[in-house]
Amino acid sequence: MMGIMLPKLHRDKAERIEHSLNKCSMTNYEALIEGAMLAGTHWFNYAVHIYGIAEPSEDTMHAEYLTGARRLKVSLIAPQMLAALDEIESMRPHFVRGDVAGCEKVGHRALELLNIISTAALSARPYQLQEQPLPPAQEPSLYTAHDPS
Amino acid sequence: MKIEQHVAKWERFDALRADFDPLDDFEMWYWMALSGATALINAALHVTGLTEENRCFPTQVPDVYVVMHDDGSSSHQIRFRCDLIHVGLPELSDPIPRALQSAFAAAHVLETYRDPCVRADGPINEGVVAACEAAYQECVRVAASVIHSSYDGHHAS
Repeated sequence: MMGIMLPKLHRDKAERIEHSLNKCSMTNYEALIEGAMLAGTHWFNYAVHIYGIAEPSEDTMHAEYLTGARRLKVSLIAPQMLAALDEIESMRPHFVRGDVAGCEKVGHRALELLNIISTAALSARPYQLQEQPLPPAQEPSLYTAHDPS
Repeated sequence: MKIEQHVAKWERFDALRADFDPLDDFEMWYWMALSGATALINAALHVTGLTEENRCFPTQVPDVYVVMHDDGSSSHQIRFRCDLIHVGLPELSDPIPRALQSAFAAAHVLETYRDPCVRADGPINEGVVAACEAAYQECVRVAASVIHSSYDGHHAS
């Protein structure tokens, strides 16, 4: 049974994996994608705990496993971080588990996405204490006002 | 994937393991072992006919695959009898062939270190490294034997 991962432990793990990724050449795109997923998920968990979106006992293992409610909340509070983790996960079927030819560009992109996640995570603070209201999400309105005309 | 692509992936993952120190870079060293073992097991399963060679690539959701089309595009589809994400994910409806049972058992041993040591802060020491290495080598030995003995012209050794 896994112990509870406090935010600092997620950060330590993320930085450890990032340090290992420095040993990869850009042509090792499978390792870079997988490492970006592992480190990025640790950063993601770090951030959602700091933001106050989830308790330390409620870690996410993969972006696909986020509940609808939690995904909605993260999309409002840290949309770039969520989009980056989603993109990393979307690379895995094609380039890691699949035979789509990768290249240095793919490796670079994985590290770019990881950087987006870590940058967002390191600026995280409890969302309920933020002074400014969060910008509204760009999404269609759920309700259409009735037009009497 | 096709059998030869699985074997080629294993070769890449196995070479990548050498770049990482098993203790200092345990997470990446381990993940390359896990990925490589899974690639060879997937190849061996295709050889036995339990799963199909195709261009349906696993997502993180069991039974949901990225399916490549002839024009290079892809789509998500529900598929069965395709590549595994990990051993046991998804579960196979048919019994594991006797020739592969020890590979599956070793892969399950390898999997037990994933959550505590990679996802959490469980202990990483020489004993853990040795256990993972032994499990990985058993997966490789057994899966490669199935691939080599049953698929003419393809071997991983």
